[in-house]
Amino acid sequence: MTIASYVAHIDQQKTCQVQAELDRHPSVSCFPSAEHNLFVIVTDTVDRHQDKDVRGYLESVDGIQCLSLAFAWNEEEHHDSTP
Amino acid sequence: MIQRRELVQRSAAAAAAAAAAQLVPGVVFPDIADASGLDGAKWHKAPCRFCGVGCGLQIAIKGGRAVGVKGDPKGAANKGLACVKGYHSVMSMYGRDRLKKAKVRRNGKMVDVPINEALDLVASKMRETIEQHGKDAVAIYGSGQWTIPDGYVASKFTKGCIGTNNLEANARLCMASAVTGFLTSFGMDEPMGCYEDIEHADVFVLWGNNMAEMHPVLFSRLLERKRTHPETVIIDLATRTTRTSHAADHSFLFHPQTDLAIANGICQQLFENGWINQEFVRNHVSFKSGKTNIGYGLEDEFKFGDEAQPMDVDQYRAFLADYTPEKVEEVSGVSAGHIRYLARLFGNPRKKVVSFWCMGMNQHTRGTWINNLVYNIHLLTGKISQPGNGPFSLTGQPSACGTVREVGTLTHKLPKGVVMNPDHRKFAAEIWGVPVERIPDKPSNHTVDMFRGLDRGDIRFVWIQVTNPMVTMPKLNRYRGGLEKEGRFVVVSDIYPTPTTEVADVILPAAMWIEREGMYGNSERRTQHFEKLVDPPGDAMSDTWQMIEVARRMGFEKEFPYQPATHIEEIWNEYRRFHAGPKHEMAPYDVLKSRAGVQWPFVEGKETRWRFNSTYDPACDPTKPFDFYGKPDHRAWIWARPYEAPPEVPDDEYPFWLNTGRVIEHWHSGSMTRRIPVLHRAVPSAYVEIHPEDAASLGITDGDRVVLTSRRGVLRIRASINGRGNPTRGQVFVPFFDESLLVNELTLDAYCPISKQPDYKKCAVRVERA
Repeated sequence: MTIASYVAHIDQQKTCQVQAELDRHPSVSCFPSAEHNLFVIVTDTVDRHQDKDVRGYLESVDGIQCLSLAFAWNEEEHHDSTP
Repeated sequence: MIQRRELVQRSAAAAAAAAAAQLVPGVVFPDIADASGLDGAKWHKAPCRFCGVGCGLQIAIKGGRAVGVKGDPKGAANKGLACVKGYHSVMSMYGRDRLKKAKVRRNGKMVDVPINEALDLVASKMRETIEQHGKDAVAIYGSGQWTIPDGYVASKFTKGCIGTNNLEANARLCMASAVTGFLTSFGMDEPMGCYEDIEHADVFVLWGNNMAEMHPVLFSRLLERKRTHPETVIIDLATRTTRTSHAADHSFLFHPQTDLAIANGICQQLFENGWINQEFVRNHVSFKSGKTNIGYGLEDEFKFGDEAQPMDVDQYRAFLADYTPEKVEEVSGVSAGHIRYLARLFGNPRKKVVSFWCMGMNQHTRGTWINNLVYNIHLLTGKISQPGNGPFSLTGQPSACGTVREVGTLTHKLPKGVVMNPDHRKFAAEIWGVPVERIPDKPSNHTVDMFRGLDRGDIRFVWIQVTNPMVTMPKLNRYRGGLEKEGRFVVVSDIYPTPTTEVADVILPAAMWIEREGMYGNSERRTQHFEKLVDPPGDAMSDTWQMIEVARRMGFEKEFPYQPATHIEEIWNEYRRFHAGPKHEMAPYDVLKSRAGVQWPFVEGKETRWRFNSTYDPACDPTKPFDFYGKPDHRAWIWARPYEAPPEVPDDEYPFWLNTGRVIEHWHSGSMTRRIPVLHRAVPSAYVEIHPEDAASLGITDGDRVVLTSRRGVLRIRASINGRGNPTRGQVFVPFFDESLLVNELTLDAYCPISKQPDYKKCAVRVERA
């Protein structure tokens, strides 16, 4: 399980188009902001390879101007070492 | 029950929403709220407890647990933002090893006992110690994380009931120099301005203050000011390159301790170039000098006294003659050109300037002096007590101001005034309903002296609440050894096991933060109330109520008549009497409850944002534009304070400076934030930052194990090179949050003789590859 989230700046003229495009992708959830051209995008994939593919897909979507990784979780890499 | 996968997805969405909020304050993602699993949760206001900024939070409560956090848009300090510690703050209550039962030491082992049995033991040991060794053989050591009621009952119990001034708080270690700086310059404590200064200023000068990590939400307001007003200038004056340096327009790196020379150099240039605000200086300022070569408090029972001597402006100017830019460059390493540039920024009458500082100036063997010197710059230019113009000392803890400075939980203080003043003692005795003779008229032990007293045996009993001195005291080996000696009795109230509970004879499980009602007071004189939102686990009890229970067991039922359901309101109403009047009036309880925070002086329903300015401050003489009423001459005092070197400097045997501090992910000694998995994983252990050229010459590469050795101890630790921070050549830096890598076994217990605050920023060490 590899889950990541991004903050994306969307072209003001293309927010509806981008949302429609992202909603079609089975590994992507999209959360538009109320009054700004910002989206939170969450991706949920099987492993790192698929995660990389989805990241590539996001970078290719017309209208996403800037994509910043905010959170990344890879099941295999996390062990609880909290005291 | 939500599935693990869904939980991670929600966390991912929340993290991205939080990141977006840093970019666009106030941005809302309506669908994320639905996806968060917080449907049906009730949201309540509470101030964050993880620094002195005082961010307002909204806490989601569901099923008796705190399950969510968001920034409170009504929070005056944060306007809806929070930092990584704030967003994860509620998780700090749910660590696996939370203390739920009282423990007492029996035959060398800690065993669980009913809480009432532990409280009985604390009271009987306290009484027995007083009978055998006198009142001054018992002490209470608290915290800037104490709530205001915690500190108030501790002060009343110690000074008004037992009759000892052995009351201190860990804020002595973090902002005592700011207090003595304010008192010596203005006669009253705490900043004259407020955070709103940020939205009015053109220039920010950060004096040894890594604000990007230590006060991140406030720093984001600086960055927002710069984003919307690109001409804004941010200056980082530091001994180490940090994230703040990278965000600043200029970073000027100086040799440790030489900020004293830099500040005097700026003042010298203000005179040299005619940039003095003559009218302000003529009407509102006096010039003073004090003792020099004042020592470092390294010896037990060190005493220091000083008295201000008047001087005139010409004498002061003559004093500054030693601080030409070229001479300051020799001492500090900051170029003469940059000294002139800094003076020009302050001297430009069209620019509004705010100075910020925190531990870099306060943890300093001349901490009071450097505070005075920064005030001097603002006073000479008249850039003070006005929107966008002012010196502003930030605090590290959520209630260092509210509880330690305002309640007065230090040996010399009372809730109003000082123990040395007979009128102040009389006033306190009247409100407390105790004989005035019971309040001793002399301060006893400041924090370092208190732990020295425990080591020597002058003090036999100490009760420690909400702090972890066995990680945070300097020269730790001596003071840990003191607490472990035969004949000492140590009580610790805490929420988790720590190195301090390891030396305890009794551990009292404490209710944390929103598990009880209380108030904090932040850096900008803002008092913030919070409700009890969840039940504490097991037998855990608030520090306030623990103290009341013990006081009653010692025969002080009359002095502590408060009812369990209403005791916070009763205590607040009693405490508020100390501050009646326009100089310090506190808001009524109902007002505090209804708002995200209220600034004092709160006079006739209005908060006072800028003190000493008659446009804003009702305590001022209205016939004058400014009135520094804290001083008898109604003037602020400019002090001639020289540069003096620290007591221990690098030499052939110990050739590096050691500097210590914090990281954004961890709070103080890490006992809470290291139990938040995401923060712990982000920075799981301490490290030593080494300049890349120093590392290369020592054959050390990133991640290598190195040995740090000082005259007091040895620490084996991993090297960080070109990491988050980068010290100057000849200096290393270690964060102190990691209880398994105790950097304070190396530090020196030298302190400012006026404030008695230790200097954690400068001692000498040797660095070797392990």
